[in-house]
Amino acid sequence: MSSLSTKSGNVEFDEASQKELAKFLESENSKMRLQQSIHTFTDLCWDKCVTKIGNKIDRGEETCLTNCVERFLDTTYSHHQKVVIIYES
Amino acid sequence: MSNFSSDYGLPSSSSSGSIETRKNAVMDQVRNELALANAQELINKINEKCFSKCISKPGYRLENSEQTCIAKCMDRYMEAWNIVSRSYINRVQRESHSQGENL
Repeated sequence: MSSLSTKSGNVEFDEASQKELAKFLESENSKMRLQQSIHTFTDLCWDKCVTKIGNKIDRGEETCLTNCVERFLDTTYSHHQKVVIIYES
Repeated sequence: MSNFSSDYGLPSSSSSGSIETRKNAVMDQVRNELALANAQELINKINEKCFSKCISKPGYRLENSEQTCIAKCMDRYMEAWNIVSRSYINRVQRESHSQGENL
């Protein structure tokens, strides 16, 4: 066993690999957060936009879903702005 | 601390492989775990949404019409997920682009 081995003796990586793994985990983590947001938005916008179950999402529903995401983010953004203003005053 | 390799299902023989091999094994494992977690989340949501849309009055068994509805609903939910995903990613890209212009 090399001097790089950890306590468990199973995980030994050199510094370069450790850095690469850390970078990899960071990017996977942000991908996961992105997907989590998409789950939340789909949950929310599904209830607002999809009323009947057809053979396809129709134009109206699609527009509604797109607008729903946009407006939700606008709302978040405007709340964020307000909070910033409150904190700064 | 528990054993990393057994906790994460890595073959214990990997400890004797090259660093490169073991690194790739860890990455694959992480990718798989995350893909699984994502799929589970999607399935849970579909279950919840489609149950409430398709089973308005639970009877003694799942009716054919209910089963058809659930199958369709599942497809529609995934379609909706993709539309939402596209919209969100567009927005994020648009915003990071305009932020770059402001700097």
